[in-house]
Amino acid sequence: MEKKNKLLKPLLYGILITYAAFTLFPFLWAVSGSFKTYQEITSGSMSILPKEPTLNAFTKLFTMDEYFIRWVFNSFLICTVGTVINVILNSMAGYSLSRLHFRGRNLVFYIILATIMVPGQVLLIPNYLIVKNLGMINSYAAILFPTAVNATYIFMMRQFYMNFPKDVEEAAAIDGLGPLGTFFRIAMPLAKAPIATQSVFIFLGYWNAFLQPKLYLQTPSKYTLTVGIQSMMSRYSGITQWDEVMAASVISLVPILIIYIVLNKYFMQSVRMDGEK
Amino acid sequence: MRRFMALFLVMMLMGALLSGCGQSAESTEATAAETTVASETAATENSLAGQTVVIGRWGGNDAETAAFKQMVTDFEAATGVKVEERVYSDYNTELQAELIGGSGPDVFYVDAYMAPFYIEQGVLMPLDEATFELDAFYQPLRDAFLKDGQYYAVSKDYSTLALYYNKAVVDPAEIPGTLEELFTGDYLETLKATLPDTMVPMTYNRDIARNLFMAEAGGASIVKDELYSNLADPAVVENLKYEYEAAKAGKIVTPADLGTGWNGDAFGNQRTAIMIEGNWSLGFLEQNFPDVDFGVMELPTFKGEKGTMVFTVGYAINASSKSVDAASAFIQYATGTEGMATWTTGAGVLPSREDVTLATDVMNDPLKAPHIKGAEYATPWQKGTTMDTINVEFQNYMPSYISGERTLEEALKMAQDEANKTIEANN
Amino acid sequence: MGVPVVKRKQREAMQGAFFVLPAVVVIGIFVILSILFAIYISFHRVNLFTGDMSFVGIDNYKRILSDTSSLRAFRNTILFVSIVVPIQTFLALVMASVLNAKLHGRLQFRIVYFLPTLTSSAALTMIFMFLFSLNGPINQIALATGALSEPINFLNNAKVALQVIMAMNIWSTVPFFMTIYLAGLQDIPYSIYEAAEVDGANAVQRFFHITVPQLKPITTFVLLMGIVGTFQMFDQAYIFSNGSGGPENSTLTVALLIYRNAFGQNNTMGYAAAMSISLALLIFIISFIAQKINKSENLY
Repeated sequence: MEKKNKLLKPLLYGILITYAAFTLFPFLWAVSGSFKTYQEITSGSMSILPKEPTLNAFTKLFTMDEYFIRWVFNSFLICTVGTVINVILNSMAGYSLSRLHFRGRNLVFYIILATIMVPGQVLLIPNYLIVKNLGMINSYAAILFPTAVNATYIFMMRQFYMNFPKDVEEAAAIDGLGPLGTFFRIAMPLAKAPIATQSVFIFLGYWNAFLQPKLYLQTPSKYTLTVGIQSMMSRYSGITQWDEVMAASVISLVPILIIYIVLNKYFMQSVRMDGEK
Repeated sequence: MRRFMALFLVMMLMGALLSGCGQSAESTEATAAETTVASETAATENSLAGQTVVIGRWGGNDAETAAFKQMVTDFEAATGVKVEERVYSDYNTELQAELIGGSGPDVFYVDAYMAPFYIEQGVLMPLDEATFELDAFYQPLRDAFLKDGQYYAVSKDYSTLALYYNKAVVDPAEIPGTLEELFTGDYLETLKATLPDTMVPMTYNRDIARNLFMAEAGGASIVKDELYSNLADPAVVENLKYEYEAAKAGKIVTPADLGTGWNGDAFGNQRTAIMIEGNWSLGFLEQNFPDVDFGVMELPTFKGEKGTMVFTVGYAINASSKSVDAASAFIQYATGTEGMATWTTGAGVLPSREDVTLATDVMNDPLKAPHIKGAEYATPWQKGTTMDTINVEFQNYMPSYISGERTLEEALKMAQDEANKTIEANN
Repeated sequence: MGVPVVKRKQREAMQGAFFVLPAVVVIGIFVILSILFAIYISFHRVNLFTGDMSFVGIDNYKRILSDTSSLRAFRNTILFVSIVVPIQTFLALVMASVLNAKLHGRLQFRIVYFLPTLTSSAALTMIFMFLFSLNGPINQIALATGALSEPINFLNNAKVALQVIMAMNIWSTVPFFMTIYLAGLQDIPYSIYEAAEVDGANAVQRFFHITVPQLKPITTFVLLMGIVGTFQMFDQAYIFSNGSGGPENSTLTVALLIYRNAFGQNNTMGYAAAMSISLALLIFIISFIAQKINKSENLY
């Protein structure tokens, strides 16, 4: 027994470190690009440390538009509200589809699932027409309403809830909890890990969302950060200012990284499902 | 129950957001309604004051953005019209979605290349020659937006291709005077021998947008019956032979082969000694690679004639615009002597009007002069509504010639036939 | 004992319907209506600008089967899916399990592994295009170690261009699925592992006989989302080939072809819609099969 363990640990560490190197390198290169001059980025140098570090790219981005700070605020607002709504509605739907029985449950699930399977390009225009006809153009409703639920995460929550032991509801019923109580007091807290997972990715999705918000928001002061930055860097002219692209992606990832680190402990909760609560 | 409170608060917040934001949408509609009531033909500037016009454009580098903003400020001061800008990234997708949805901008950029398409869809308003002083413009640029006797956009600037060379390693007097000589003669090889290992003599682009003038030299045409690809025509094959045999022999390479994004990156990083590029490279090199000492000259002749490509973009009025007078006023300003001078000097592009060329003295800039001379004989990059398909298949099959898998005739025939299958099905 | 069974069942059904109602409303209005619109125009030849619509029956669908580029696109996409999905699922599962073990620095590794999801597609593609260019690091290493005698022009070579995109895609999607698996691993009771260890099972055996089966519902999710994602892969192919799908249509995915037909000069929305519906159907069939296989008790 002892020998096997001794071999195992170094092997696992080896895997972790190798994979980490693969993961880190391109990422660090992209981040360091934001501190390099355009010339250095395109010169083909693979070094992670800039030869002539510069904050030029960041300065250009921050000062290029008067609304920059406003955009940061807009993004946070939309992302937070959108994520909260999504987490609650997705979890409710996922829970219902896996643990509550009603007629047509499977049909509803399959239809929701099917909507993920249709590629988005052709849906762009009908979506636009629907949003326009509902009078939501140029308001945040256009960004939050159509995305208030996310079929992918409804699916995910359903799969997670399927793994719950059967007696959870019965225990709750014995305790005298009604349906909503069971959901909010028991089902949600027990799903901390998938909820944390959902939160991070949904937030990331809202933060990086570009095409739809760009189409629906017409006043520059309402833009989210991503939309604002992208519109400053349109590439129709064929020349991409890579230093600005890298700087923009760094600015974009800082909040997400912070959220991920904060929620990190929830990804591995210490709830044991063998009968204890 | 705490969760319920959280949920309730979120719903209230959402409600607040929605009601707050809904109103601004209504106010823009109100302004638009006002403008239709107040319109009169070519009215005095005073009656336009207070109106709003929405301008759609794509973004550019710092210099361009600054120049545009300057021009807008001057226009707003002169007429009292308020300008609202919309900057697009995926220009065609976003603009088309908006036009279809009925909320497109009043004025927007139209690339000469896409002009036939947009004209055909009926989304551009016909423009009056006299109002926009169209006779002051260079003919190829003006007529790029002409269809059936009507003009649909006004050219705001243009770019042509010229030959750039790195002064440190190239003596311009030695560059052959004809493209035939350049591609088939020894010049490139002799040059290569003098260059460091990391540098190639010349880069090129496998793109009809760059090759069109060569492909159609001597009266050949790459399009048949206005729609179909004609790449396998022996005259066209003959014309393209020079450049592409040189590519196959490895005398010239694409920027991607060097691991760089485009010619400018390669040239700026001194990976190539010569490139054929447009005048947008001037601002780019100045901003990002100020250390490279380079010169610009007109392209060598082909089939005994001077030739190059010209790319131009114009301002058009949305056919369903509700602020036609304000839109018209903007275009008149932006393509008038004052606005165009501000824009072209600031952005480093070339003016489409001869009077502005003279007034801003650009001919005296040795780097720009070769580009300006090109405007007189250049071939516009525009060829009907099926170029996308023809070009895509061209780019698709040319690598198979370079790699030796097919002969030039076979590769071009594949490109032609594949394109025609698609064109056939689409029309 | 309380409420009679029938009433409880009714209450449960109402609760179930109520919980899922917001989702149904939102998806119904925004997604399903749009899909119905797409289905409708797939049977027409449309010009959205002028509003022209002429009914052409199943012509658009027939065209998918006869068009060289569409056949090539489907072929590329299916190849892409069949290689990327198994690799990314397996890698995600293995890495999540390794991370779940009691090792030092788990937290830090998890943060590092999350980073690819934060790298934008544009930056990522640029990096990979550089890595695989003619004089780039991959070629240099291959030449130095003797694996290759001549550098390969990965970006311009129709035989390997798609594979480069596969590598890029796996790199950027594994973290997502790994995080999901990690969350799933939390629900496996520790006592089962203890019991197995007492019975003499080693780490590998515990992995294959406990971990993997316990994660079945999660694997269903990972597989299906992987299939959906890879079938719809668009932006990496677009940036890599500059929208052309080349060289020689080797990087042409169905999503890219749809985009080309929907926007730009082509104005063939009907055909694009028909392709989208066909792709959706294909995804549905493959997912269904994958899910059935995954669920079958005989497999594991």
